[in-house]
Amino acid sequence: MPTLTRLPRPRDVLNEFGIYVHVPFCSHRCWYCDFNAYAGLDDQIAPYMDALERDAREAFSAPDGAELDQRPVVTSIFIGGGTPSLVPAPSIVCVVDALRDGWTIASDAEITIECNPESITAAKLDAYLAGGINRISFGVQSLDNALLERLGRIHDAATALEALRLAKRAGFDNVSADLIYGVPDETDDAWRRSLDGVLATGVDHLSCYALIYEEGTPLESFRKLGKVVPIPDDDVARRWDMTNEILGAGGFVRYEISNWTKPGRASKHNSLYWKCGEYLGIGAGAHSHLATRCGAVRSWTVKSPERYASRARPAGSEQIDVRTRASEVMLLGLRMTEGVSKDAFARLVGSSIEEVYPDELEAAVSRDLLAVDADAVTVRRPFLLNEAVLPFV
Amino acid sequence: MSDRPITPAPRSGAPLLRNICTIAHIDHGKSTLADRMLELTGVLKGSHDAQYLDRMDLERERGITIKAAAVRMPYKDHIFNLIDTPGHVDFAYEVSRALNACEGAILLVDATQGVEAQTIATLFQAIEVGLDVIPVINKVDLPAADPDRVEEEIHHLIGGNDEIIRLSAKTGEGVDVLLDAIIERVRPPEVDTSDDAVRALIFDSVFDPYRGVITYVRMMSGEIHDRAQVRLMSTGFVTSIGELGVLAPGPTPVQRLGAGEVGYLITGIKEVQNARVGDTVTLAASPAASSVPGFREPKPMVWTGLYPEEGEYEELRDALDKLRLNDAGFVYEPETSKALGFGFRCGFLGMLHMEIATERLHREFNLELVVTAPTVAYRVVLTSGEELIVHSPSDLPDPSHIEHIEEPFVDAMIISPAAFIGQIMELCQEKRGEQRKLDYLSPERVELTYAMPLGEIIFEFFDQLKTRTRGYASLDYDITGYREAPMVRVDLLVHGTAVDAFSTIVHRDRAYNWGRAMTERLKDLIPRQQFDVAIQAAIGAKIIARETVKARRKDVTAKCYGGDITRKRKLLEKQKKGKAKMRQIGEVEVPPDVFIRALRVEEK
Repeated sequence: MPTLTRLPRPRDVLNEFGIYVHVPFCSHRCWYCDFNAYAGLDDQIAPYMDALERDAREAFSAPDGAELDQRPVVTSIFIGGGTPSLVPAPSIVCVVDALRDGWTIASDAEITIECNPESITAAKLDAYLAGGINRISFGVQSLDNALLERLGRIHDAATALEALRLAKRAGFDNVSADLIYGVPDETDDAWRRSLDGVLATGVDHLSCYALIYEEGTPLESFRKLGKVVPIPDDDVARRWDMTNEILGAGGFVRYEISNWTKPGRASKHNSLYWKCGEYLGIGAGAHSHLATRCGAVRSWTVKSPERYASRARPAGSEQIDVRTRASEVMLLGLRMTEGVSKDAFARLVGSSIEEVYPDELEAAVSRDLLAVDADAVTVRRPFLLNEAVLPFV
Repeated sequence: MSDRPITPAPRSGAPLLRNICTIAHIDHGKSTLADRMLELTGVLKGSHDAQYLDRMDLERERGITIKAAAVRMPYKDHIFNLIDTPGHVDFAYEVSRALNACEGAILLVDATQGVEAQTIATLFQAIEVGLDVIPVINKVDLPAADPDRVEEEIHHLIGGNDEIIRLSAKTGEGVDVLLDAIIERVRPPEVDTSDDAVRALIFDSVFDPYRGVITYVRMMSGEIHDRAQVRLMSTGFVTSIGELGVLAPGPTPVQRLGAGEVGYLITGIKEVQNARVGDTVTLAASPAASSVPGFREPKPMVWTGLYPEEGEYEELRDALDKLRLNDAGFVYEPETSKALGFGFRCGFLGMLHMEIATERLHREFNLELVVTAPTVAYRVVLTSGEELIVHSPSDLPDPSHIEHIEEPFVDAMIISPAAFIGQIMELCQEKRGEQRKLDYLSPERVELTYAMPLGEIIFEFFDQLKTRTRGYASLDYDITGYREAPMVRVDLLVHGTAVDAFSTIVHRDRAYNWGRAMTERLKDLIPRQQFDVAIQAAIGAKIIARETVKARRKDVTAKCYGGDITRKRKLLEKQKKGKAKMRQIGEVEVPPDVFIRALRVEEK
């Protein structure tokens, strides 16, 4: 692989830059959740939000060597969690305001907040809109109360539907819902009802994730104890097929393995991850991907909200060389329906995809895992993505 | 070397010599009795390892003696040579040579167990050779002892005339009676006095890493001196004796060995193959006109492929070389398998021999091995009239060239409590056995004899016998010859590719069941691929069983990782490492242990 004196900066290639804001607080931890989230730390919310506000200006979560002397124009902000809707809306808006102080925010920037149905109110929604937040994503997960309980969710289906309608009524024109399929005891019909129910609220975007049994979660403990039996992979695969069918009929297109959108509503921020773009993550356990003087770095902050609030420096980092960059462009980009653009690959890596992966591409095409055309490399069977990307790892 | 003064050897043909062996089933107390005899005759005094005659750790652990040894002991002006015999059917030939080196045999039977199959087989051999048999009932001190019943069984076998000695090798009670009986009831060595030519029968041959091959002999005629030039009559190999000695009980050099005596030779021979059991040693200068009759090349009857874990081929070859130094019944040749890589086709005298050898490779050489399904040596007669011995499925010629195939047959003798007779008959019928004999040794114990294919005996027969009789049955078998049988080769194909490690030669009537069992087993072991994988069993082009591993439809974790790309990449890197360890069968990727697990019978 040819070496470059300098790895291209994704912000220059993509003309995009994102900021992720992590709010780690929850009123209850769901059984399947392995994110950096905490229930019962309400007394830490205020100092934490103060620290976030300062971080938004100072970027102390950025690692050493990150090129932020000249701050790039921010094209997306994502306030995720945890449950950002759990904290008072004004403190969220303060963080957004602080970002505006410290950064240049593009006029058409996408600003998303993640919410849980039970913690949303019309007043909060109004405050978010007033603060410039223009996209809202609800953790609905299911519209089957038994399955919601099984997942450890604390809201019911009616609350979720009400929250979605409330957001529309408040004036959000970019509403998204997260759903989870492949839950034990879930039937095809139950899944269909969840999809139909959410569609009927007029959402613009859907993220549908397959249930994963992550190490260390209560759900995984239940599985090990035999209290929960995962459904067969073939059933999971069928649910994904159903999702494509139902959402396709509803006017949605799939643009990533787990993401469907009405035309023009694809998440800019998440797309930035898959295009191997740059972003700064602020908050506890937040991840960043930033250009350095000659390469790039992926870094992460301390997980503990308390330690973060005392403005701890990043906890770890990994330098990205040209080989890793090429690999990441592939394994992230192939998640997208549009695949890896040959042009973007060449500009992000510094050499053409055919130069870097001649044998890998040929082998994957002959095994019908990938398709290569003049402009892009795409995956033939998205649900067998791992097999397709492993040669590039 | 022992510094104890030894009793001088008596003159040739001396009437004061007694050469004896012990015929006993595993655990019936043969080694304990030998220890007690050594103690009572003053050869051993207290502090010694129990069971002196068992040299190898493995033997001690399994409670069996796999190589004969001979120990000398003085008793009331007499000299006894106690020759140890291997306790298992696989070494029947070695047993027969050891019997030929004796005039007498102690028939040792456990008072709590009764007569067992192997004991009977060896006893009949001893009677055939014309040995004076002293029946002994051991373990009479145990509460469960039933000497009267056992006496009835023995009388049933050898008639009611012989006086049966009851003793306890453990406590020593009655052992002196036995020692006296050896003098009275066993005749002194008969010496061929027709000429003075030296004829020494090799009844055991052991490799010692420090001294080379130690050869145990019984002098049939003539007198041999140390430093003599000797010739091995089957090969013509000439060497000189570096040391001549007797075991008393440690190796003790002597100047000469006369007719009737038992001792050992150390020569320049480095491999046991050159000093084979049954061969005759004579003087190079004045050789005997004829050798001791009955020499036979050991014929491996059970074959298997041994394959090393990756990268240990050289280590395995070295280990096999070393094993062969000490085991004349073991042969091997290089073999290549598409599925398993480079390995060796190995031949053994029987199942136990194979188990012991593979266990030794594992323990003494620390090798992890893949052992393919054992097969017997088939005799294949071609349409051209040519005859082949085939011991690997891959060597079986195209069916169109085969006139017929013959498989080795055995007479299998089973002794069991009479209560299990039904289960045993059922098992033997399943294994294509033909009943030859049904004999009640006593009202409670029965002896069954079946003519049966060796190929069935080596495949799960013994385990099944033990299971169905709750461990009470004992088995012995004797290879009787070859019989024509409709044997076919069954191949296993994974996605159209034949996997040589799984090919087998099987009776036509069994092919379907075998094919179905293996395809089912493989179906569970082969992971799902990007495409449907057919697993087929075939005889030639004809498919006899089929299973399908359905194509995988999902391998991706459709989940949101947020910005944590590093974690996602690490997970994929781990998967890639796991994938790198996979082996290929054509286009199909399988974990490396699939072959081992599929061939491991007990996982069924």
